[in-house]
Amino acid sequence: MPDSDNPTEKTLAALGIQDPAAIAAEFAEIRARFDREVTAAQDETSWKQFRDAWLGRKSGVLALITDNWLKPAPPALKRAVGQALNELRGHVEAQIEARRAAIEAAGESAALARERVDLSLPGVRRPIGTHHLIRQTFDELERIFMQIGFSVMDGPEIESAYYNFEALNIPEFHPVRDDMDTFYIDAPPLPNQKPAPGLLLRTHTSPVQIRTMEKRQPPVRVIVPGKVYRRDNPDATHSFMFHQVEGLAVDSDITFCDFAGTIEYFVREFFGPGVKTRFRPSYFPFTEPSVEFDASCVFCGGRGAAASGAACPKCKGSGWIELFGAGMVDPAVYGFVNYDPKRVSGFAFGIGVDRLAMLKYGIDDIQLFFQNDVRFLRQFP
Amino acid sequence: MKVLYNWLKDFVALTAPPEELASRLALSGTNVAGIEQTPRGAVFEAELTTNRPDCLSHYGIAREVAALYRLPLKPVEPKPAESGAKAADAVRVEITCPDLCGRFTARVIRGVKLGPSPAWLRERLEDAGVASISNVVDATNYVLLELGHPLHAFDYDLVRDHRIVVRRGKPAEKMKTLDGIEREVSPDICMVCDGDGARPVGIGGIMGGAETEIGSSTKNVLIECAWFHPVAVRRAAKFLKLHTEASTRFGRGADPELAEKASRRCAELILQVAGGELLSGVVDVYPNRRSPRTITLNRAELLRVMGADVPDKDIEAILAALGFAPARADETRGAAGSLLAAWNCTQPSWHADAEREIDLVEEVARIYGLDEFPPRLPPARQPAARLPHAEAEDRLRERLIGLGYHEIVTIPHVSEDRDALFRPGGVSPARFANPL
Repeated sequence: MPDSDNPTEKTLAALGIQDPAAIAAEFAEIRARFDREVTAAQDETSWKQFRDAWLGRKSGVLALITDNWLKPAPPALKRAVGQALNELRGHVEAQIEARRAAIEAAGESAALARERVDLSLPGVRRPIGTHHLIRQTFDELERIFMQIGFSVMDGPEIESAYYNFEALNIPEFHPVRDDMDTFYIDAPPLPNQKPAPGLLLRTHTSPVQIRTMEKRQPPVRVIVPGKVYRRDNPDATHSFMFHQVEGLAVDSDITFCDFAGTIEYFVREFFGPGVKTRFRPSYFPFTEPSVEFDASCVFCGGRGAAASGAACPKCKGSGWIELFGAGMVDPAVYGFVNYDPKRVSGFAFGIGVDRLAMLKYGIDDIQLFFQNDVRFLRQFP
Repeated sequence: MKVLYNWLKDFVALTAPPEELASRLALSGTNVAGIEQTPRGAVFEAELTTNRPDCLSHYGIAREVAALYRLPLKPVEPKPAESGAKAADAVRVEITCPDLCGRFTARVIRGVKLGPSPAWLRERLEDAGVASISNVVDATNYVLLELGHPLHAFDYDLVRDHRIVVRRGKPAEKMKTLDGIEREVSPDICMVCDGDGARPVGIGGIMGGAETEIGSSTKNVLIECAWFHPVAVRRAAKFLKLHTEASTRFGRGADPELAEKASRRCAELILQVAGGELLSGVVDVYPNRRSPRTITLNRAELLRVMGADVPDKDIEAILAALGFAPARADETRGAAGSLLAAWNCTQPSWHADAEREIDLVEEVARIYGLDEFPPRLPPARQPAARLPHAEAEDRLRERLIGLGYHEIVTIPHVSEDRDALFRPGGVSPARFANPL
């Protein structure tokens, strides 16, 4: 913009400059001003403004000098003005170009700094979930038994007293029925039907043995994973809902030796090869002979003593942990499914899955499985 | 049940140390939960399954020990001195409900001196966890622990007309049991009554009455030793919510044949610790006495079920020791290990659970040792299949877990108000009849 104090807008004659020394002094002042102002151009916009202020064709400083000092200069001074102008032009153009380059370089490194990737930073975390430990145990049991030919079977959780008790050779008023506290259901009748009597929540997965044998002829080889219910007060080792895997194998030639071998195979696969096993004769109404099956305590290695020397708390010093009940299928059961007890034989077992998982993974409180706290679930990826 | 190691020695020449004995008992069906060393010897905490009421006594366990170690079992033959007077003149017994009470024996001892029991008797009772009360009552408890048969002692003079009538209860009938509680009974419950049958003096198989119990002024004793039907006793105990040592043993099945002998043993003991005079004979009402059942064990069946053989002599020794009196019944006797071998056995009166051939197989196998049957894997004849929806479930589960979901396990029971939030109109939910 025209500036009344700006010398480049006046002619040399108006400025009273008549000799080369004064010309040089004017140019030196302009050059000094330029040098001062050039550093203020820090970014592209201010640089452009600055460049146009000095190199603009119509009103840039050099254009003004050309129009106001050089053209109207008297012949004696023209050469001096021209030379000084060329020098100044050279300096201004070089410095403006240098400034431009500096700004461009700075802009690039700023952009680089902005876009730079720190490869040492951890990646974006995508959390994945977990299989519930009970599911993991079911899967492992399925795998172990499918490997030796057991298919997987399913059955209803709401059962009749017939399948849950009577067909398993547990008649009414049998002592076992007193020990097994049962939840009974008041089910509403379906339309046009009488209310179903005696419905209950199954207390074991054994009813599915009967359901399976009713639907097919031997050979039978099945496992039945599922939920079962007992009317127990909940505490660290009891829950009114828990999980079992039933097993049943019936064929024309299955013996106690086959039963022992199958159970031993399962324990080795599940707990590892160092574990010892033993059978203790016991009693269930639906098996004969019946056994309770023990494994050597995984905590004290079967020695019975904990590291401190005191009795191992898990096996109470005996060195053995009770695992589950089992036995050869009682011939009376075959009577309920029309198998000929003289032509078939078989074995059955009922594994408590929560208990098994608690033993294998060192969990003390069965309630943890059903509280579903993510801090617990996360520990078993 | 507490079992005293030294008490067992009264019946079998036991030399195995307590730990070894406990292990062998556990591996043959009598689980031992713990061994306590006391100054008077080892005490086992034995756990018996409900099908073995015959082992709820020291004699029953001694029989098991004799079978396990092939030792002779000393028979129980009490021979108490009897006086000239006859028991049959002193007491009368009548059973009007033989479906509830299958036998009732009564003995009378006159002129006992009631007092504390001698030390040996008190100590055995204490070690077995039973409180000592008086010499006469302690004798009945001693026989219960020794032979496994419950008895009850009445003050003879308080029994009206010295007459016992065993009958069904009357609706809403009440009786005060000897623990001081007045209880209401039902017509399904067997009542022991006196006089003309009007007054109840005991709930059959469960607990005696307060009005006729032994007291400090008792001079004459009436010993009841009976047999009550197991299912009736279990139902009665459940109805009354009253479970006793007697109801446990009768409820699991006592030995009707043992009643008279147990009564005789109790009389012998009372004479020993309380003096007095035992009237001769026993009043014994035993309707419907059953003749013993015969069961045949075939080696072929044992092999078919167990998968490995047991030698003839072991089969015979085991069955004989357990009281089955095996007799070789086939023509190939003499040929050791014959596949046609068969033994005719007689079911002993104390072993109600062993009625079929398969039960004999179990008896032989458990005493012989279950670890004698070598394990092997049976061949699979069919491919194993998963449930029809298993693959789809797995894929869905994996996908959800990959997306970050944690699988949980829930309990299907919900409270009424929560269910109501989601329940569509017109739907009735299934409710618990007996929630916790």
